[in-house]
Amino acid sequence: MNVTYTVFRFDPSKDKESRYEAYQVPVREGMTVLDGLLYILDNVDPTLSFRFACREGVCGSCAMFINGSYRLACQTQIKDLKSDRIKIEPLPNFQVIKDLVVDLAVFFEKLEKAMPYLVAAGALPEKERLQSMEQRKQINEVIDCILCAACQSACPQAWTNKDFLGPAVLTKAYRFVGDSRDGAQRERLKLVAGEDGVWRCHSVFNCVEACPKKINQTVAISRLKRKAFVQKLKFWQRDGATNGRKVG
Amino acid sequence: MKAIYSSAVPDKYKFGMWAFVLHRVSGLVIAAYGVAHIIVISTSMFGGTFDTVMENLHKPWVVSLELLLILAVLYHGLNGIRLLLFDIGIGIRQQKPLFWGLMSMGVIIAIFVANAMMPSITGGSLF
Amino acid sequence: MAVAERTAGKQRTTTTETGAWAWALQRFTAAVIGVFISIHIWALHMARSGAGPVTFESVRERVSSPLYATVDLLLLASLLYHALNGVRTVLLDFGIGVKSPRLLAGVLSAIGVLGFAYGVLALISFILGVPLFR
Repeated sequence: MNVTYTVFRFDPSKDKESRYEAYQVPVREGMTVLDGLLYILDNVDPTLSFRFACREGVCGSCAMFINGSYRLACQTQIKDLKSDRIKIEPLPNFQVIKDLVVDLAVFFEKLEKAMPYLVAAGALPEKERLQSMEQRKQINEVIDCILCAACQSACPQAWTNKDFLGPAVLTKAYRFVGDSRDGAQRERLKLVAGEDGVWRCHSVFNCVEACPKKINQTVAISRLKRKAFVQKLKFWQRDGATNGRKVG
Repeated sequence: MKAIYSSAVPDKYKFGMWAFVLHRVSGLVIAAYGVAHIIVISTSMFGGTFDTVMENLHKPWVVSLELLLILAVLYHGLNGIRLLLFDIGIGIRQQKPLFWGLMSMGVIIAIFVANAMMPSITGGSLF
Repeated sequence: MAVAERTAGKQRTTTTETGAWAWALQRFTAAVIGVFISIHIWALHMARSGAGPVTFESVRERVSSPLYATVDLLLLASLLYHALNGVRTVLLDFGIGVKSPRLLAGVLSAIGVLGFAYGVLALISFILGVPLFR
């Protein structure tokens, strides 16, 4: 059986406009959309560019726009698409570097603003930092994020406001704000509670629809909003700087 | 080099997106009505004109527009309840059934309101 | 554009936190409006006998009651806040005013205060039963 891949092509060194190119790909049982792209790369057109790495849905490199949906190419079985035509486009709303490769630098710059790393709370414990089942449950879902940027691409606030941190960044912020082992909650809340942060989210759910890992970003952002407001109510803790580091 | 973005149009945007757009549009419509409302009502300050203005506005086509306004208010209010619930952490994962539940409430209220306004539009009642 | 070139000198656009209170107040006024607008519409259009046009006299009668006057004033204040903050939100969503949020909030607050004063004057006309200006 053959399927027709219609792939978005753009080479900045010679193209003025983007175009679509069609390829015939022979399909065998168990083949993913990424396998088909690799077939094209190996056998038909070595100039085709796309990102991939782990092929098992944990690296977040191969998020693409497949037949009108946000998907990870490596996690999408061709036969599950139930079509012999597969249209592949790069993530919308990002600048295209070449073909299916988009410039995610803007995304990772924003991610940095949310302190996407654990800041150990309190004094060094004798052994490891323990979490109860209940504490771990708070971050069970958001911890699955692989930073594929599908939600970031789907969010209408990010379309109209280039400064908006975006659902992936806010979800990552919640991943640490909600972590009982983290000691920089207040600093991080301050970083994501500006006018370019949580208050730009209006529960549109495009991110939830887009997420290939089935994370509900709206739940995470909603919790961030409440935590940010409660933090605001604690006027006696106004200056927000903890652990001797400067914020903002 | 010209910046090229994918022209892809997502087809997965279901009512979360449309609920939001409608909320925006209805909000702006109601805000515009608010301005008109304040202007009309404030004719009371300028001697004797209020009753004339009200008389002139009591026309079927104006009342029909008011019915549309009520629909906008109903939508904005009921979807607003949905957003309020989200903000206190209720129903985010059930946003779709929650939306349709509130909308069916809206339809019932809308029928009731339309019935009450019909005498001013057609002269008869709905039922 | 090279990534390094674009990253250079990039800073956070805003660190203001007006958003938290604006957000909470938007929710609070929403609830107030939900209750009061139902009272307002009911009292004006449903509770009156007949379906004729609203008259100066019928409004005067209603707002002479301090309860209704209070309801209408709180409704006006809540609506002005909710609408103007809504406009502010739409503007911020389109990236307008993100870099000067305080200026944006100030301009909209001024419009709100003027709108409220204008509404209060109209209400006083009704309560006194005479036009303020002739």
